[in-house]
Amino acid sequence: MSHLVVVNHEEQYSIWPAGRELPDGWRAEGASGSREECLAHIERVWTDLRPLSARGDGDA
Amino acid sequence: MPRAETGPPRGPSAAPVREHPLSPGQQRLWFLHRFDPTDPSYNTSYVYRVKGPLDKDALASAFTAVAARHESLRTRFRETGGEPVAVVGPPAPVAVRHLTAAGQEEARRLVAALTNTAFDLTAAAPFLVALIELGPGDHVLCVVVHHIVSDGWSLNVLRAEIAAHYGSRGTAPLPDLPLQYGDHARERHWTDAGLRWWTERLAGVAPLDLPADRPRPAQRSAAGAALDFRIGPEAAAGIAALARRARCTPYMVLFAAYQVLLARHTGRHDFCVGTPAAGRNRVELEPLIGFFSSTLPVRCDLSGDPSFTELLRRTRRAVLDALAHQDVPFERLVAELDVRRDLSRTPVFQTMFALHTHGEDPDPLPGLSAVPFPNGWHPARHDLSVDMAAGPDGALSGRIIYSTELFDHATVARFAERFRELLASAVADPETPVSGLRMAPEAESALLDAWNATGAELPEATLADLVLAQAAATPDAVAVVSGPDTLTYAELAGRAAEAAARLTAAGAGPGSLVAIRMERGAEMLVALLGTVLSGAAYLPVDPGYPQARTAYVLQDSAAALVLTSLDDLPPAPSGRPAPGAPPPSPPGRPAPGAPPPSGAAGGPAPGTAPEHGRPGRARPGDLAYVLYTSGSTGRPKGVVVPHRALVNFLLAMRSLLGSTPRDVWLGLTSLSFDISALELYLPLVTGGRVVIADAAAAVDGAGLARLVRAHGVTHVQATPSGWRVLLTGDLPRVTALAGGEPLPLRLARELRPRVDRLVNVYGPTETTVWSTAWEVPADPGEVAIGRPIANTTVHVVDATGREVPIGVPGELLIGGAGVATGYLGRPALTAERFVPGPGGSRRYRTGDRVRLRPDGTLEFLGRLDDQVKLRGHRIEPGEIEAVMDACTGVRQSVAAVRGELLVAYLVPEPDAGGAGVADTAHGAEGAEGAGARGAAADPEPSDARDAAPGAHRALLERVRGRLVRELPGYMVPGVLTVVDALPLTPNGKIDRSALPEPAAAPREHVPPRGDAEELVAEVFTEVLGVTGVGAHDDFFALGGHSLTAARVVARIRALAEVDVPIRTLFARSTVAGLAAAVEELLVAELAALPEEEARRLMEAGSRG
Repeated sequence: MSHLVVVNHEEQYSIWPAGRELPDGWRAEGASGSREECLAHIERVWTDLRPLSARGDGDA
Repeated sequence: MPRAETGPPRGPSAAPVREHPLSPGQQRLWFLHRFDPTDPSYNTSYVYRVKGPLDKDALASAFTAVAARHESLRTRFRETGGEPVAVVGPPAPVAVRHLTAAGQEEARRLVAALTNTAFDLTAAAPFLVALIELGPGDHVLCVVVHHIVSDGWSLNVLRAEIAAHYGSRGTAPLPDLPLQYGDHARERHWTDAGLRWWTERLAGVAPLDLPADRPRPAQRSAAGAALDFRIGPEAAAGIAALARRARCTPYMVLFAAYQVLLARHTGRHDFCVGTPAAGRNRVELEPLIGFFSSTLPVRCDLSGDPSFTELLRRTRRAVLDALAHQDVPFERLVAELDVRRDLSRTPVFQTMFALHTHGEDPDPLPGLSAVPFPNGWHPARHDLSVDMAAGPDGALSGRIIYSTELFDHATVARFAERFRELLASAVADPETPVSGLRMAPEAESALLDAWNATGAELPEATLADLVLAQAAATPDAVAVVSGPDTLTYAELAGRAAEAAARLTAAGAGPGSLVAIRMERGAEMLVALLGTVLSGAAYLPVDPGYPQARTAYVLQDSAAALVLTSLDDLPPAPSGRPAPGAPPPSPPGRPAPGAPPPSGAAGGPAPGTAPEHGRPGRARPGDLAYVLYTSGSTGRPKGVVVPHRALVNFLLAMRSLLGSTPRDVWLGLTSLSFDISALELYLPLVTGGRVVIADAAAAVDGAGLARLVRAHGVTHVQATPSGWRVLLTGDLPRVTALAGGEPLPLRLARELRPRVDRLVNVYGPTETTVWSTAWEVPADPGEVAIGRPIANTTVHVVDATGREVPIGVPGELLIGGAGVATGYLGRPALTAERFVPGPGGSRRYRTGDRVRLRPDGTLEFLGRLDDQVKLRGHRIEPGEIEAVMDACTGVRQSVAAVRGELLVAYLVPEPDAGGAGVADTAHGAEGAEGAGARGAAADPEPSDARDAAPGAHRALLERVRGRLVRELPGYMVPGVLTVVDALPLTPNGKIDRSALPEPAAAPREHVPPRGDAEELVAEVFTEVLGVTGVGAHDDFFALGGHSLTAARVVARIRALAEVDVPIRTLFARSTVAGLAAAVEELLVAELAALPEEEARRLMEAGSRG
């Protein structure tokens, strides 16, 4: 395991080297593995690339 | 004088003159001396200021007595047939040089003059004693000895013996010496097995390039300077304690930290560092003066990011192994390793580290008070050398001697600060992986933070909000001019609102994407603003794109509508928009309500563009546009840019440029290049106007200049390639922005005087148009990409993502308000390129190599992808291109690697073909020399084989000559190719992947041509014992090395009566190259003769 899948408050995903302190505002999503495995996981689970604050129906 | 008049054969010599061969170490220093007789870098010295009643006679007789004991202090050198011999003279009184100085400063200058003057090793023993009188009872004693007969240990012996003799006034004789240096030099002390151990140990190690302030010169010199630093007693105690815990020595702790320092500055995990060894591993050598020390190349291994403790273990083993094999002479090793002959750096290792355990002698002249006095000596034997010594108070003093050709004082000072920080961090937590040790001192971190303090107010607004606000403020001002069309702000806003209503009727709205595939003009701008007003985002599609790319982009983006003209749209409903109206897009577009195209994973395409938008206005977080970019690999990908990023960009540029309503921008750039957003929108949010050039005008410099003049354009933005076109016209003075590809210095210097302001801008599409800017000064000497714009941060990181120090190259990450949402429908790629930053932020990895300059501006070095490694050297094509661009007759150039070959492409100035001076002979020699330097160590030396259509021959020779003079050999392209034009990407950038294959020519054997080549070929044959030497054969490729080089020079001197400097052989090492040098020297000698004598000689020659 070399990387973690991480996610921020806007539900945006990224990857981070395992064992390194994660910047504040990010948490480990749970999945981990090689870089490629983590990216493949993200490809599956991140279905809406918009930041959380820009989602929603937006009935203005 | 306590000298044995008759004694055992091992005592001081009684014979008047003795000769002995040189030890291998002496041979190396002799070679270096011959290479540059003016170089003082192998002087060694000790200097004291002594106060009290000095007995000058006793001092002189002490030196005379010690010189009589040690043959080394009486040894000079001479050469017979290329072989050097040490000549030991008879004992003789040592003359102390008496000087006077008015004060300390003058004394310093006198000392520096003495220590920095090269000895002539052939004239006399290189040993000098001077006494500088500052006043009664106040002297500076300065002793200088060449390293060829001395070393650090020897200076201690000398100082101690002088002290003993002076203190006793010669009444306490010193014990006899067991042997003399010549006895040692005669013996071979090393084994073939030892040599093999080293060659295996050092196989494949590449040179270490520390990030320098200036490009490495083609040929290094000893120009150097010194910087002193100190590690306090407390920190030194911590180092000693860590050493005890790790069962190693403080030297190893310091050395390991130095390795981390080097690794973290270069990104390298495998390199060599030199470290001295005393070389006195036999007890009878201990009392001798002479050159016994050696320098051991220690191979450092920081692979796998070890903890500091683990690195200490590795260091301990590497040092002990090296010490166990220290008898193998370094020069023998260099010859055996067959390292590339490279005059730009020292072989095998480029940096040294030493801890000296023997301190200063507290009492060098008994009866007098003595304190060490600065020796003022600082030639750089290497790029960087660190010498440390333990002081009496428990502190460690350090001295860094650095090459001033490469480094500035401030850079080295930061280096020392980081070394201390690393040591403190390693001592505090030795289990930390070395990449995680803290290296940046507080002050440096604070500086980095200050440079990123770009915070500025950012209103919650969209592009539409800003343009509408401006239209309300200045409704009657002209907003856009395009050919015959002119629109005021009110007209523009009105037509955009109408278009928005029709778009809404067609189903567009917040969250949907409208492809705009229109020719440049006012209508295009109306369509863009209409799209934005409808709440939808736009996707520019260049009408000139190939059909396949257009189809791909439309398919990949799943755009809801494709607009080729506003006429495509349904009429605006009188009253409310009709969200359900069918889109007027070309056939094949999915109907509203149809399922979106499938994504790769089989589920719904993850993305930000649902098929049709919700009603209403866009919000700042909604997307403004999607722009497709081509990466160097893979399919084009759509970058999703939200309004907030676009608005931040526009407001940042407004304040950076000081925009006013009087600004008139030229709309020049294709809409499919995101930088067009600046030209089109900045004037519209600041009350200015945009003059849109149609597609035909955009490629004609004269036409554009007329357009600029006719419409009073004040602001023009273009790529450097575009500026070359613009400069062909009679362009009025404007504010110029250059971006999109690196701005060559030459173009900056040409452009800057022709414009009012020149701003070099930089940024990837993924962080919204431009992220940094640099105001180009009048008469620029270099080009930077500047500092981050408002609400933008820049971070230079290493391969592990950690920030690198100021001045160190790394990848640029960009954070802040400009960071895009991501890549449309590409979650994995987005996650990979947009990485975590603090506070839940994201930073974009640009893939660009940059470094922070000490003033906080960024320097662009190239794409990470473009950076190439060739035979262990890291090569930056941009550096090579800069040299070629600087040549007269070169319009543009590109360097690249093809296979194992460095190649370059040149676009000549239109009339450069015949412009070259027809100095064919000289030019041809230049080409030979370069071929040799560029390919000397290849298994199959590929010669310079430039593709030269006849007309460009002279240009190529001129360019090659300059490359050879200004760049290290490994950076000189093997093949230069002239091309009419460089391939460009659709956005007008150079397309490196589309460069043609270089012309290849088989290497052929050319027999020596003419007397000079035959002479050189004959000498090579004789000295190297090879046959069939041809004109293009290279001395080093044939097996020559520095020791045989001296014999070549001696043979040429004997045969042709011309003295070729050894460095000439290194620089021009082919038969043809050296032959041309010999001829040049002969011609020069002839020219120096009086006219009459020269004529007589030539006549004699022609008759004979």
